[in-house]
Amino acid sequence: MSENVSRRQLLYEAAAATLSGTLGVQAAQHVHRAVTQQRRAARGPYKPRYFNPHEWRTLARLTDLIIPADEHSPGALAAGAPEFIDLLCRHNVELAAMYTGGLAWLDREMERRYGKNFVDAAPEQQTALLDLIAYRKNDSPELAPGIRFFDWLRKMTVDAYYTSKVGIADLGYQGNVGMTEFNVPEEAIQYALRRSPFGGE
Amino acid sequence: MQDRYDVIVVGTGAGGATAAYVLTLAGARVLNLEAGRMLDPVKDFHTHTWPWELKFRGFGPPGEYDGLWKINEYTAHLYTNPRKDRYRSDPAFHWTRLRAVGGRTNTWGRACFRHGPLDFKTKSLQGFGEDWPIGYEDIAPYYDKVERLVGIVGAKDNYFNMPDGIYCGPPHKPRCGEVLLMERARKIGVPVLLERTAVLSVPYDGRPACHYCGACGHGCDVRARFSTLDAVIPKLRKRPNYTLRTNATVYQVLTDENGRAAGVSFFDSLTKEYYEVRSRAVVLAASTVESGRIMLNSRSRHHPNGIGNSSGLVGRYLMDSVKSGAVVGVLPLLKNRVREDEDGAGGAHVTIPRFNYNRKDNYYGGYFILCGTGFGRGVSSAGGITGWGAALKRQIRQEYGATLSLRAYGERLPDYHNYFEIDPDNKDAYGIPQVRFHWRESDNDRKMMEDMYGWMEEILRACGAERVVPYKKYLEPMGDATHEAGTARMGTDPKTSVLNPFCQSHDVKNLFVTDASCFVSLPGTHGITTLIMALAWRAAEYLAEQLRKGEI
Repeated sequence: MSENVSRRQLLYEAAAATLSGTLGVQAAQHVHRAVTQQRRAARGPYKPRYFNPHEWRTLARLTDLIIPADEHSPGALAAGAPEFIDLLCRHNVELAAMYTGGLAWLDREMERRYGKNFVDAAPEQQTALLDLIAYRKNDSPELAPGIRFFDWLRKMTVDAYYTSKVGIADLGYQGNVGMTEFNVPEEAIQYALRRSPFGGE
Repeated sequence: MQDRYDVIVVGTGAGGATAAYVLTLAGARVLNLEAGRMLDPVKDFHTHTWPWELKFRGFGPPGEYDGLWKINEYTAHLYTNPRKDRYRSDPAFHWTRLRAVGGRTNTWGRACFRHGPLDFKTKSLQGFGEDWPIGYEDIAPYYDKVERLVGIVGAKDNYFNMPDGIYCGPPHKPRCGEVLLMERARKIGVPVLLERTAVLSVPYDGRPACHYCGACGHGCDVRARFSTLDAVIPKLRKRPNYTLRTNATVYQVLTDENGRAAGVSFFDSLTKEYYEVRSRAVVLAASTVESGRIMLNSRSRHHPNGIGNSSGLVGRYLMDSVKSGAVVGVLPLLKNRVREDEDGAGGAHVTIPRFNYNRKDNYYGGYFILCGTGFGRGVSSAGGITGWGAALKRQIRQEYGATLSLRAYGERLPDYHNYFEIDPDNKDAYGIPQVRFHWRESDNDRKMMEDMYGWMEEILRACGAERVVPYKKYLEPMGDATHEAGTARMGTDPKTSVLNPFCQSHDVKNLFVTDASCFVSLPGTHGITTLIMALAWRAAEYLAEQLRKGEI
């Protein structure tokens, strides 16, 4: 049987045995976090630092399409994916250029097909284009820039989502806590080895 | 620091702390110099930090770390930033530097498999490279001592050419996917062993057992994994004959009128002030590249090519494990499992050891394979995702914890043309000339690579992978495995080696090098740290005896 112990309790015990000042650090981090959250709330909605307002609207729509909210969990917008991408673009010129170029390509392609830019087109028009550029099997000289850009955009949206609180909760991650023993239940092993419906044996 | 010391030991990592430990316990007056600062495990190791608590979600600013994978937002404050202390290499060489008390034992991989008899006699028993001047029987008693100091958990497997060690506790139990791997790989003749690791499963030596948070790569805040910072240096600081001087960046080994080592010069890392300090003997253990750099920079009338370098071989025969990329498979048997905490003891609880002993391959040496499975903290975007929207999200949820990733680490043959030298046009912040690297992928590396990828794919298929994520066959840049070794090789002939079998310079009798510089081969066996420590222990014992006899 494994017994879960809270992180603080564990650190406290370790500290009691070996180190001093642990709780002070933990408490300080907690206060720091609370203050940061309050400041964030006071500042109002996020203002993009790299993207212009049109690009920002487009980027937000794209990340929302890539990882939408569903009955299970919130989506990329709640996870701060556009903000994360804005931050990275401010720190890397190649990345920034790729996003500027990629978003412009999407608008041009939508104009050519439907006479509207991406974000103002109808949802079914937007998703029709994603159905083309989200798969490498559709690669063609015409679509190549879009497919390349979308691959990056999807990777970064996925990275942002699954490093966020809501994304990690979506996976059902159980860890980052102290355990006194490491045991994988026999039940889980039997499931994988003998009873998994995906096994086909 | 006004005294005259018996021995100056440069470095506090695996090789330095071990040498200092043995010498101090033998009664020598030891000055231990460390280029970096003292670390505090609670403040410096971000073991329990969530990615969303960090500005860049753990990744750090894009491109900031020049592809050095150990450096990320959790650990960047520990490492030397390659963009701030630049070095040149052709082609790219990954040089991962951690300047702090404990060195790279703070964030090491923790695997402790012993090297076996064949590994020390590659030429006579396997037909390539050079034999070490010592054999397994010479080093085995020192492995015993080191393993008792380190605290290793594992099982006695009686596996060929990988002798069992001394274990203080039972091995960590395998995760679900690792049990599956053990069962399936065996069916195609691929062995899977429980990990022999320096992460405690029981309390040992005043340190607690692991609490299974899985973040050892960021350092351990409770000291459950071995580091010299936590397990060796504190023992030494209680001794009156041991002095630790942090923030001391060593520049040169000083020599006397006879060309013998007289001490070292260093810069205070913070004030950049210059110091000289004297001793009867000098032990370099600053890491393979830094020790060689100090030797090459220590030019004098007696040592025009650098101290201990009459052979011209300091910096030559640079090795690092031949490291493949990762091959990832999605295993249907592991899909949709009930979520468990599978963080475990950081990294795999099993390893695939070298298994080609009875095969006729078209290359020399062998390799081991690292395995990654389990419900990790987040998912990687690297693994061949496709599509968009609800379907993508569902696929990721379903495949979470159902992937097995494999990566091979192989033997690098010693090659005279893989080397570092002093770069005439590049100095660091202290004005100390920097090194530059030259290396090439060999025919043997490429043939081994083909075999690695072939077997990794076969193992994934044996585990029932429905999908192997498309991959390119390539090898990581040299240095990426952080197993640099071989650039002051040991031997009996001063013309073809730098050090003697006791890690003592052929040229300068009171100069020793006790890191991986002395390696003659770099086998495909998992773990070099305890070998470094065993060699350092043996060398330091010999040096202590020489000092006692008055021969040094």
